[in-house]
Amino acid sequence: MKTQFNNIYQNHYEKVYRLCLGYVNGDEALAKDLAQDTFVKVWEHLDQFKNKSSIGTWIYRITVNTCLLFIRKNKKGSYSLPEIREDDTNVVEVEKAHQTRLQQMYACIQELKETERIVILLVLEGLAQKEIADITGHSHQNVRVMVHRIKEKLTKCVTHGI
Amino acid sequence: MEFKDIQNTWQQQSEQTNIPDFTPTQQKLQKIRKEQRITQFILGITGIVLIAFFFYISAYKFSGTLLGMSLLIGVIIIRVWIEVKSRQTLRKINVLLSLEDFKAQLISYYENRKKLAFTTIPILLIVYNIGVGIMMYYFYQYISRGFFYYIVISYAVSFVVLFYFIRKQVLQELKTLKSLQEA
Repeated sequence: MKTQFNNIYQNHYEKVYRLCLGYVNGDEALAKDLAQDTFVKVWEHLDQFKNKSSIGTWIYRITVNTCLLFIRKNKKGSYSLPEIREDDTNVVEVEKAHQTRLQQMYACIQELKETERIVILLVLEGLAQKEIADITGHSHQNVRVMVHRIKEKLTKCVTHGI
Repeated sequence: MEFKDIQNTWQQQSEQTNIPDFTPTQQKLQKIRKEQRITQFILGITGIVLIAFFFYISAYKFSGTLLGMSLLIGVIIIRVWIEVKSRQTLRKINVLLSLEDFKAQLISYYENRKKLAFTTIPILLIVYNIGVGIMMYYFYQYISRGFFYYIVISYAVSFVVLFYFIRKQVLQELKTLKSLQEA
């Protein structure tokens, strides 16, 4: 079981961390805590995994619920800019532009309602709508409509600003 | 800008995410569980000893001070019990549920907390103040005036501070409930 958990942890940490990061407005410290909380729950419930869905979907279910629980802490994370090494001016400019776009994306995601935020983060991670329906408990049809609406909202916000 | 571009930007980030070691978290968790079991054991033993002592000194024979003290201690015990039960309920919500079912359970939890905040807690505060009133009556008779006023003032100050924190917590929980209902 320990080996199984270690494999799951190594294979899924990055995806879980990135989803948490999106949920807490790009705040790395909060995202790390949330990712750790998620894996604590994965570890505690691993014996209940019944292969009804893929392990990835199962972990995402725990991740989104852990994120939703975070609401009670009433904290709003703030985007932590990564350090940029200033040895190549062109690279620095490109990297700065990339960071600004990311910051804008995080700010726009933060403007969405809790459920919308979770759904769009799953879309950004590249999950299929069927899988998103399984994680959220909405019907496939419902998810399709929701995803379309949120995608439009996010694109408009990132392009034109909040 | 297309949504595809946004998705690409998203997926390109954190490619060099360092995966932290999970072993310290596991060890810490095991330690916490062990400590929780020890705490529960110590609390249980303390309770039994207190009850035994209560009967040993025949404290159950009625007196005004006993009534006052019983109200004060009773309210504190009930308040702690409510909080412990509440935390247990929150912890028991199954994280393996779908997001919508999990959210529904969270909403139900916060609705119960709201009911507690507007019914049970005010009653407990009133009973607690009745207990304090009874104790003050005896303090007034048996202790010096200066010390009595010191107790009255410090109680009033601590009650205001306590009320402020209870109010803050209730408002925060109401805000959480509202966000969940709107989500």
